[in-house]
Amino acid sequence: MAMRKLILKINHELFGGLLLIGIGAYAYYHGQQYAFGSLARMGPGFLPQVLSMALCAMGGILAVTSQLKPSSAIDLQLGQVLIVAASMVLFAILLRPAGLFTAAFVSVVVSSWADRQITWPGRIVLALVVAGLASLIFIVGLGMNMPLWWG
Amino acid sequence: MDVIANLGIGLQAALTPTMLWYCFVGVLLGTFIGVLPGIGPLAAISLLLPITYYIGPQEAIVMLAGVYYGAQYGGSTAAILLRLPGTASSAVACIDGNPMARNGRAGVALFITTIASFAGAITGLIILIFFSPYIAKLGLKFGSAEYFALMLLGLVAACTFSDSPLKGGAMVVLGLLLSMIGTDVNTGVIRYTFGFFELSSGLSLVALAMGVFGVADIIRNINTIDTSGLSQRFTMRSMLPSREDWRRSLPSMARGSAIGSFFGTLPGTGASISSFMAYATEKKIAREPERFGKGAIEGVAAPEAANNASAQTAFVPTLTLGIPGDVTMALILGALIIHGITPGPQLITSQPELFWGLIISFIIGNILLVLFNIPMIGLWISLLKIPYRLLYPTILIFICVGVFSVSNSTFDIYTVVGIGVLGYLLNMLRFDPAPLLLGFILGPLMEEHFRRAMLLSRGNLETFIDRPISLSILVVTAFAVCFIIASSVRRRLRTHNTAKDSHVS
Repeated sequence: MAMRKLILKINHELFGGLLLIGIGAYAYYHGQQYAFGSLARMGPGFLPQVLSMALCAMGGILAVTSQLKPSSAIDLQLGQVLIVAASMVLFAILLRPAGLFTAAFVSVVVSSWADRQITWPGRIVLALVVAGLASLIFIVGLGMNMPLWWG
Repeated sequence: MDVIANLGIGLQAALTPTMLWYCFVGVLLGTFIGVLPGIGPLAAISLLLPITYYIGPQEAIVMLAGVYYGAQYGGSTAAILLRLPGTASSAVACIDGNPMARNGRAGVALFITTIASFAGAITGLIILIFFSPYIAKLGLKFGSAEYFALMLLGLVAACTFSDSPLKGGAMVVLGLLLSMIGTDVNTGVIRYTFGFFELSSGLSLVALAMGVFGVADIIRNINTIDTSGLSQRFTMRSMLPSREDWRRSLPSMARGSAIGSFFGTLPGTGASISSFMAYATEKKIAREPERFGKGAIEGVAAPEAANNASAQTAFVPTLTLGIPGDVTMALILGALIIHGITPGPQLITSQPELFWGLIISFIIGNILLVLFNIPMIGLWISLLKIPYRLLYPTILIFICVGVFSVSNSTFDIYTVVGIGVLGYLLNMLRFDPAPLLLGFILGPLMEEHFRRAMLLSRGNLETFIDRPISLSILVVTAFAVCFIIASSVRRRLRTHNTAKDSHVS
């Protein structure tokens, strides 16, 4: 299948700096609901607020100094991100109702989609082998507390 | 002699069948993980953390430590044969190891890395044996101010040696912020949970480590790791180095061991920094520096000795002060704390069997590793032929089950997914995730010690300067910060000038 791939011609330092400022600003805004206190009696909001300000400052320096460097391309493998995330989310959703074997099988079928070379028979065999191995190791071997199958 | 009596205690503790078994399993898994490209010791240790809940603390640490230093041995195999470093610290082994392999000297390179690894590890262990009691004695004088200052030094040191100190520093701060999630110990206020009840006990360490080092790496590695170019066979004879090889590599191993031992004991700096420093030193003092990068055996021997020496001495601050030497140590420290053991200056005196038993088992582990890596090298090389497309779906399942089993909640799996995507983004923007994890683990400790120091001094910041030990640590930290600023300014100027020059010409 064709992989969705996003090539961004951006200055990664600038983008990184802005990302840090964003996270820091949000953490500061959210942290204001916790009491600040004083140096001698610090409230729960003291360090979070100080740290988020520091993060904003560092992001700011990074964004400003990024202009000294040439920008370069980064290629975000969006398809791979989505497939890997989806396979893990499916595993989490299926684990309780459908059991480890089913969840692992479905998850491997989905996650192997990210590879360009694998074939359908190979995918099914791999999923069966991994699901079987996981069931053997975690349920039979280690006796972990989770269902194996539907029901 | 004290040392002999202590090692006697250790021998008794380490030579039980269970301890030997977990030591064996640890180093075997470590070599396995180290050889496989695309999965490092950090991911392996985070995967094993949940399993250690089921076994005793000492067995757990012996196994996790075995994975750590075993991976240092195995990591160089893929680096030399395929130019694919299995661990961050073996990236240096690619530079000269891979040219050696292409010149038909792969066997010699692999043999020398094993010997260098062993020499480095034993040097590190000797330092660990003789130094730890003194550091622990010094640690007894530490108050909250000293602990805070030392952790600050560790975090600063972790940024000093990363590519961009500013980005490293930002990752440390982000890690500290992430550690604020959950219930505040002092006031009981619940912070940054966004309404999720599951977050009230904090972000799970296992979920964070697996997200950043497992999932993020997998997303990046899919379709990029190619192991099909491997077609080498080895005989014992082709592995034996010549007299000339020995003459060149033995002094390099000694220097590498010394450098590694030093950087290992510093909190915050670990195996990767040591191997880079050792390589740079060898290149600087070599009579023919132009040989480097084309298969110089010194460039393989010194970094390998260095990263194994530092893998052992990193236990000095971890076990005697409770301050992790690097990220892997931080995970091991986390495992100890889960088992109710808080490492600190009292550990050696209050639990001598644990401390000395660990050291003896490290020695046993390193001897096992030499056996694994020289006669059995063919087995590991055949492992390298497993294609990544079969490996990564398997690893993803292990990650999911691993996180789930920590607290039997699927919420942690969603956390891993979120952290993994964030980690991938940060990775693409060229942020090093290691300082983030270090900040996350040191965060709660630092907050507690900072608050306590402030409470005792009634909010007077001078308490950090009034106490001599704390003052001297802070002076060293200040030097490190000056060094960071000076070197980054110098680098900026240089790139600026060369950019200008090339523009003119």
